[in-house]
Amino acid sequence: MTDERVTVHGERGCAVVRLHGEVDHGNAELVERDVLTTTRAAAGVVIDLTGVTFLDSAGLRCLDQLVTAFRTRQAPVLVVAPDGGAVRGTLDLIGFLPDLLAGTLDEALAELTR
Amino acid sequence: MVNPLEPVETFIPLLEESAEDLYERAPCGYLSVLPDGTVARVNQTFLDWTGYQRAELLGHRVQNFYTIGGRIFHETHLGPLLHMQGEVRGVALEFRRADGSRLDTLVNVVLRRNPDTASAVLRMTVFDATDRRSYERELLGERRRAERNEDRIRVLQEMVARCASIDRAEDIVAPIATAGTEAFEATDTVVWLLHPQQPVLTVTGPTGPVSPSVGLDDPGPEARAVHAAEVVSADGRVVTPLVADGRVLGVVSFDFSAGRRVAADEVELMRTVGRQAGQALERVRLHEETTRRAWQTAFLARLGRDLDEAVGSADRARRLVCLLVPDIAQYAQVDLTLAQATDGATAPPPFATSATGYADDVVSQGPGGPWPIDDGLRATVRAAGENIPVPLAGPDGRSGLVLPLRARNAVIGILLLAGSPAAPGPFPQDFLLALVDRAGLALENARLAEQDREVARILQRSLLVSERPTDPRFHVATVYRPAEDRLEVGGDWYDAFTTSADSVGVVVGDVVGRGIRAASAMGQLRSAVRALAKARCGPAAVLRHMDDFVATLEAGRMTTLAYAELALDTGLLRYACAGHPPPLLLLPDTTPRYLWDGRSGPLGTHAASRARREAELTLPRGSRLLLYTDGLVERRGERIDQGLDRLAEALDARRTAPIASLTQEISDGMLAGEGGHDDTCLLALAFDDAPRFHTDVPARMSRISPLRTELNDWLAACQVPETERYGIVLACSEAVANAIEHGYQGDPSGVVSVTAALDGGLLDLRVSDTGRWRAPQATVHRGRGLALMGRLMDDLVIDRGTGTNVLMRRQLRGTTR
Repeated sequence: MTDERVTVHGERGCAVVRLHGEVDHGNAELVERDVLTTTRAAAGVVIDLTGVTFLDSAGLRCLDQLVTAFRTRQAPVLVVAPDGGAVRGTLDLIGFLPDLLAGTLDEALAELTR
Repeated sequence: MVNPLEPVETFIPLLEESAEDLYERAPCGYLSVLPDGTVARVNQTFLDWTGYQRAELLGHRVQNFYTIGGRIFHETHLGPLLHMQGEVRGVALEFRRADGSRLDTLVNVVLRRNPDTASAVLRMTVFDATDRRSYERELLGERRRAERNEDRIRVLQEMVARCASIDRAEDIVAPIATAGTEAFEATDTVVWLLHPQQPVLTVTGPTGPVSPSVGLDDPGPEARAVHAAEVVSADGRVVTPLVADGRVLGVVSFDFSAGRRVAADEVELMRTVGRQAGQALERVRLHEETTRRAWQTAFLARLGRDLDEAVGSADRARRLVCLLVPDIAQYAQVDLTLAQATDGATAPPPFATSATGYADDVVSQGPGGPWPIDDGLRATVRAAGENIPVPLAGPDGRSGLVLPLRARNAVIGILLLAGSPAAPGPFPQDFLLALVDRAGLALENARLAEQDREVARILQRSLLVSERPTDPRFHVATVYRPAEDRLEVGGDWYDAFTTSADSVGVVVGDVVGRGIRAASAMGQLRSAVRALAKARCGPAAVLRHMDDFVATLEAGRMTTLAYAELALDTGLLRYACAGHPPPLLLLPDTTPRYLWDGRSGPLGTHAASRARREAELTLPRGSRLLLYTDGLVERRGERIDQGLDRLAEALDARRTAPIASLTQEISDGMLAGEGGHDDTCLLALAFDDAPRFHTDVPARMSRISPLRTELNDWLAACQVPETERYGIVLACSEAVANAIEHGYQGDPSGVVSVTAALDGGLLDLRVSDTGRWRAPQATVHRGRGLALMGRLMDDLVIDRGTGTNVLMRRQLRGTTR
């Protein structure tokens, strides 16, 4: 089953993974599986959380796994979480690596294709 | 003039003597001198005595043959006397011999006038007085010597007197130097004192910043005089030992100008100087030693007392270094990281409760600290045993001493001292040992007390924070403040619980005593009150049963407590006080009043009333009831009724505040200034209708999302701003997910109960399950959920009993309420 929370498209040679709505204990594993199965090898991967309305610790674990998996595939990863948003707040609260974060998709793509 | 010779000629004709021969060979010298001094005639005897040829004298002035003194005498005395008296007898006159030596004589001079010619001649009869004069001179010399010795003895007596009044060893130098100059005309007098421990002689006195020293193996006369304990002289220097009780304490060296001979009696006097000064020195040493000992004893006593005043071990370590500088050293450092060294397993941890880590374990006072102390040094100190202090070369060339801080046969830390003490040193080993043992014990006791206190505190906290009833019809807020200046926790407690579906019980109690014993008694009493209250027999009956209970729990005797039950449907309040300060009631639209009814004595009392009474009254909604322990209202120098008045005023002034902040503010206000000497408990019960959220969620992950929406909506309806809502919802979501995942382990038949209440700006959120908690494997992911909850909320309490209760609180920021 492909969850409607995940969309993937290519942009500037990178894979852009967009997550939507809530990522929580109820669906985080599903989201993780979907992303990993739908995202093929690319020069870089952007996980865009702009559309995520809720992210809990299961969602954080999911992000962890995704970043680890893409890095294993030798693909640089960036996570987009808009500044001032609730999701960004959660990431900051838990100490998500600032190097992996970007404020917008454009910033992330610019960083990855530089 | 020689008439008497005639009979001799008659009777003794044995000697053929002519008058001429008699004149020439007379046993005295004859001189005939003209008034101008020209020698006219002289006999052979005089020539023999003086060694002159006759021709050398005749025609020359007699004055030329006097010594200078004789010439002066002749002109000032002899001449005038002859002129006046015509004769002078028995005057001492010194002639100069031909070889330049002196001839002492006694002279009779007669002036003979020839009345015919009006000429005159002096007839001088000269007797050799060499022997007599030398005898006289000897007498004079003896007298002078005696006078000189008298002077010396006076000088030395002055020296002894001055020595007797000194009270520092270096003060002995000036009297001895004066004696050296005045009694012996020494060109330089130097006092060398022997080091009490080392074989070194050091120049004492105002000799500048660096005093020269010599070792006792030096070949010079100073060292030799020490070894010999006797006067030694060499090259114009005489060294006499300073001796007391046969012990050499130092030496004095007298330097003399070239050619000065030191007589035997002077040496004897120098020996006396050495003995007298040595005794003075010994007395000073004893005096100094006594003073030093007295000071050291006083210091140790003060140290113990001052250290005991500080409560924590870290405070004591800080106070210790402050006490040591500058009296004992210019720099002091306490290092309590010893136990963290390689074999930490064998030594107790220095600060089991230290939250701040290394920085707290090393404290120093004085310039240039802290000195680095490595594990090697720690091991050396630990192994040093009695061979302390251990000398230490500092990183910047300074030298210091290291001492082990010991307690109960274990080395618990290191004390490092450097720089000269301000107090009179040196400090003997037994003093330093006593110092470190005292300090070590004080630090260790503080640490043990901290451990005890921490245990008691954990015990107390665990009792105080457990389940609190949540019901829309009432609120409870509490404050517990341990005494600021006490080491041990007290036995104060509060509790709130439902006794039935429509009744809440509140209690505040105070166990006599402090420490773990009081805390554990408190725990038992608290449980007993709870259990008895659930039997719903009423406050007086609860107290009666508590009397029975403390009959089996000695530590609980004389406990005071106030207990109240509020019927949530009718508002009926029943209360009883066992020797406890009265509850304070605030009804809407009135001033606060104390509830003085329902009183009886402390639990288990024999002296006070054990007839347990209770009282009741009906509360309208909006009422508030305060229970507290006496620490809140007692203040030094204040009567208890003044404290009660202050409390009533404090409550009145905050009558509309949310009760969570009400309790904080009241305890802050009441304990400001002089308060805080005792533990304090404050419990506020509000009988009102607060916004409340409750829902039961089936234990399925998919049901969390709708719960979040529901909770968010309720928060929004309570005007909680969006920025606050997200965090609260996230924390709640995590707690529910935990309950499903770990409490029910995926069992979908479980139910998670979520309750939220808002009182003023305080959000109270409770998530409960009845599942069997199985400890999850500790993973970073699992930790993240808890970490999020902890960071999102101000308080997080997880209570596992039958099921798990997670209680979270957050003071809302920027709410409109």
